[in-house]
Amino acid sequence: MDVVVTEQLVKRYGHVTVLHGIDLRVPRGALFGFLGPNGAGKTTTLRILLGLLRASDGRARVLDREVWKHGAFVRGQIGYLPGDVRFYDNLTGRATLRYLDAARRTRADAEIRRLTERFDLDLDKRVRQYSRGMKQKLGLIQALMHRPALLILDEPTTALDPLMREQLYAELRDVAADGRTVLFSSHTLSEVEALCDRVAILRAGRLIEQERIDVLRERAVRRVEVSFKTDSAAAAAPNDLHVLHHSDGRLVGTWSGPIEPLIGWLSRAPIRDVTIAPPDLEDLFMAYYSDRPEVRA
Amino acid sequence: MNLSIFRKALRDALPMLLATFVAIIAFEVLFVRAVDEMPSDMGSQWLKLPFVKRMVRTLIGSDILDHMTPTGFMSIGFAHPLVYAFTWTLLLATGSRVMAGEVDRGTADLLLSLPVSRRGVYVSLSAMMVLIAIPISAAPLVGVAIGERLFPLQEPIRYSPLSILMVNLFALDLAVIGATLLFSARASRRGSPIAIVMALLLSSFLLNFLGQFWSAAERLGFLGLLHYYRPLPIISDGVWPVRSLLTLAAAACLAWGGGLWLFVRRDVPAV
Repeated sequence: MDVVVTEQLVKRYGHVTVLHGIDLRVPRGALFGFLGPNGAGKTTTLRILLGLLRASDGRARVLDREVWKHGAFVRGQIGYLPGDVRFYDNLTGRATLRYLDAARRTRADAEIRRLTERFDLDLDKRVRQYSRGMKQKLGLIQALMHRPALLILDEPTTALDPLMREQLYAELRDVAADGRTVLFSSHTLSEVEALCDRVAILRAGRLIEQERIDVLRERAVRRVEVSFKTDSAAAAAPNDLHVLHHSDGRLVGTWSGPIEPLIGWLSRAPIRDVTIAPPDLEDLFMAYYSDRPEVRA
Repeated sequence: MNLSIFRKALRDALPMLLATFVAIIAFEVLFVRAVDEMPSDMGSQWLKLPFVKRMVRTLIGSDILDHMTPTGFMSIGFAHPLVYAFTWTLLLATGSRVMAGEVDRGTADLLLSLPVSRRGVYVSLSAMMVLIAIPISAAPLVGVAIGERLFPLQEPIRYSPLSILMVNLFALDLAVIGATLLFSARASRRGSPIAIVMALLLSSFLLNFLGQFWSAAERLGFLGLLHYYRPLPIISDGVWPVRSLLTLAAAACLAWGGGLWLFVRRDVPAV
């Protein structure tokens, strides 16, 4: 079952259209990365899912309920971390969490303790004394503390140090292992690659890809370098090998798609040495971002 | 209604509420003392000056020279610009902070991602505003009572017309709250509802003032909220100003309802 479903979702501000018919599906239990360059419409989509923005057209459903119509119910199932999280400066971290816990009518004391230890946050300071990283940790705790069925995190690793990023990744993996769903936006490929099993890519308000990450990996380009015992051996290279350079018995090229035909050819060829790099998703994503036509091939 | 949101909003408003409550009481105490110490002939001479006469009539809705009693003088204390300034500062600052201010600060994301309907949030914040209007509307009466105890006047103050006045002031405060919530519900910057409501109130005061010597302004006076708060006629007649109360209540309800309509439909932009 899909936890998040949008159908032809459109958002307009006056004459400016920022989302052009988004069809997004996030399955239950997924670690779902929502990728796109700045201004692509990621935050707008997430805010529509929370009922903070009203869609101009199309439908947005979370846990099988229309978001705008059943806003209170839907938000009860969601933990949300805004992209630029702001708190009440005069409250301590603890008072902030207590207030949110009471307003949600949950009792999250034990979970707050566990998360505070995991993220190593001093809750007795006033928020105005917090650094940006500490505010981000507080934002993560408030999003996670009521064990929501769906976590929506808008660029959650901003301002976190590498150690805390690892803690967050571990926490999110636990959430997904628990059958709950994580939808997080990012413009950093490496963290999506490290964490997600599915990804959607948004560019200029249009959803240009929505796929499992291993399928995308298969589509990604590998760099191949081969040294042959004889100079003429490279002539029989398969058509799918895109040769970039060939001289003195040495061939450099790129390969995309299933690896078996390449291995088969190499096993028959008189090779001295071979290097096949892992699939380069970075290159694939850059192609999506910059609208290079070959990527869709 | 969500009690946690209500309690937090009330806690945030409490320091300013207390300060305003004390300031109005202190002013009324000093006002009673001034009335006590003012020689009767000096007061009447001063109040005969044309500008002062018009200004006082604008404030209290009738000619004070016809009601030179301590209770009559108290009507000035109930409609003094300083009392308005204290009250409106509190109501505008608090009313704009609870919605436009949340968007302005960026905390609306937290508030509105709670499992509470927009209507629930609006009602919780409105309830807090109504609650703080009660002590603020009662503060002039409390101040006069304390003032009279500290500085007994030659003639005792009649509290029953002042109580009617307090209810009228409460209705006026509710209308100001309604207007503030209306303009705050759609705004993303805190300054705009403050500026708009303040401009409306000052326009109302100006219309009442100009209405004394300009018939066109007098005809338009009914459009302003202050037209429905005229302390001296209430004190002199001791009659409930039912039409004024109903008009202010209707204005408060309409503005409040309009604010709710806007708030449940509005987009909350990212900071």
